[in-house]
Amino acid sequence: MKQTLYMLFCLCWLGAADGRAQAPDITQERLTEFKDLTLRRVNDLQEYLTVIADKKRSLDERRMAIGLALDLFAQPDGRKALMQVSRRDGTKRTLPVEQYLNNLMSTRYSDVKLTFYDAAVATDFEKGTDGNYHATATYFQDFQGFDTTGKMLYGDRTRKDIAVTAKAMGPYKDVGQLDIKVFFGDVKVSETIPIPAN
Amino acid sequence: MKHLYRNPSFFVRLPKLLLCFSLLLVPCSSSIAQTLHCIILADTKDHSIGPSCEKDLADMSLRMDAVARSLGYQYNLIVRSNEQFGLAGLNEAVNTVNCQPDDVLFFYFTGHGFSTPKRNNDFPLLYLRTDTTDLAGLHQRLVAKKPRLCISLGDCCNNVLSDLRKILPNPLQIRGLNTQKDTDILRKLFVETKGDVLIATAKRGERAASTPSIGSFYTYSWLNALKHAIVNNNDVTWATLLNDSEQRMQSLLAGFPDTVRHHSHWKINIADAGPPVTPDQPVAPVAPKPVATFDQVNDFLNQLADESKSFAERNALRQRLEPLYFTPTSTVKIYIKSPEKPVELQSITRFLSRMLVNARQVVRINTVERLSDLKPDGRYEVLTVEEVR
Repeated sequence: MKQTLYMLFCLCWLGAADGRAQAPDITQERLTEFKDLTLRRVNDLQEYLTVIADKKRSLDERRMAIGLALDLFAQPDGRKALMQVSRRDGTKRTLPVEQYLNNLMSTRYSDVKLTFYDAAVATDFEKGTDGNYHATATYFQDFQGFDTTGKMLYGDRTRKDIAVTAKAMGPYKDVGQLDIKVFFGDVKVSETIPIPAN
Repeated sequence: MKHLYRNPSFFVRLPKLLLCFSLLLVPCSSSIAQTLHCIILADTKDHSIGPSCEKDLADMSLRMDAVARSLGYQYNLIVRSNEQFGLAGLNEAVNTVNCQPDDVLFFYFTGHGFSTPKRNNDFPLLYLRTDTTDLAGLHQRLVAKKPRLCISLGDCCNNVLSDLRKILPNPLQIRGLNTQKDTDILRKLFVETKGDVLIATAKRGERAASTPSIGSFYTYSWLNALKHAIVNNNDVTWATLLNDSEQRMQSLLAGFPDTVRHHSHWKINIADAGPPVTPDQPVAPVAPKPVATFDQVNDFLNQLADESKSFAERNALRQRLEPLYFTPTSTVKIYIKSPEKPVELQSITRFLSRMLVNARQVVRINTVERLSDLKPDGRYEVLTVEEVR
């Protein structure tokens, strides 16, 4: 009987350990470092979006930027992150990040200007009920599409929120540096203001 | 020792023994008390660059004090600033210094400098209000005092005739690195070397720049390079330190597009004095020989992030050197605060791509040599880096 109970306990314990790799408790100072890292990666994403949209740059560079942007959204469970975009009719549409990036590269506008009108911000990481740490990063984007004559056909100013998760990961275990890894999740449009054409 | 205590005659002879022992100690202790002589000449009263020179003086004197303490050297600081700044003060300071064969003599000048069309010397003339003196000639005077190591650093303009050093209105802010005591690097630079080093912060025809909040650009870069080497390097030479200082200064200057551009230059005349002989020390295992020096790898990363070069040019460099320096499984640990606690682990391929596309975001890459590993074939397996933004 004792043996059976012991085996049951072990099985329960293993079950809990497997698939529930919770983020370890991390000091506030360390979490601040990960917040800094998040902001850096948001700045990276902004740079990649600028490069991807810039038709004057080489295809090599723009493709490399797409690969790097996708890396930011790579989820450990293989789930594809989604990007919400504003449409010209004022509605919103959601599509996989990869498709969004490819659309940005092959947009029908002759020229696209993608700029960021304010510094990106991020909330503090907080531990969720799933055991992982969560934050929201926000960036502020101006999109302008032009025709061959340089006339702006469409423009909007959007505020975009990225769901950021910091999960327990093993890459640092080998050096005694058990820590968390930051992943970007879905991106939502929280505000859109049209930019009037000239 | 135990048998001495058991012998009664030992206590009778103890005073004599102590006397003999102390007589033996006197010449020994005087011979090991090496001194770091530091002569600083700072034009702190100048109406334009005085505040910068004040900062340089404070930063340099404190840093050299720390160097001396780390090495166990006596620190002989001689400052000639304010009313003592000038040729008379300089001559008096130089005459005061009396070097022993194992001493280090460090001369530092912060102020105005210039050159003349007829001069046949790449090192500047130091402007001493009513007089001038040439840096190279002064360096030779100091070398003639026969210290083991003589370093002269002139942080000033080297432009021909009229233009004087430019002052910048805007304060510069850049992150420093955490320091930790590591006397090995300081010993390699200041103890295990013999000879002299002459450094000027601007090439002939160039003006040097400074700002009151950070002091002189070169001095700031030089001190940061030294601090970085102390914390992060396993090995260092004067050439790598001065190369790093130059690169840091160029990164700094890049943040000030409206200011003057200047480039440091130097002459190194160093013989490796070698580490102290320790015959009983066990033979260390032979480490793999790197395919490229740490300095070269660090330089490679910074070239990839140099946005003044085109993407195509940097990508070509990456394609040429990545397979030479790294394997496909090499990784990069990125830290923000502590090199021992990275915040991210990336594949080398992804990291190098990021440097190419993100050049605009990155001011500089600092690689930590002591936390980087080699594969048996000499290629780098792990790099630990900081991205300064």
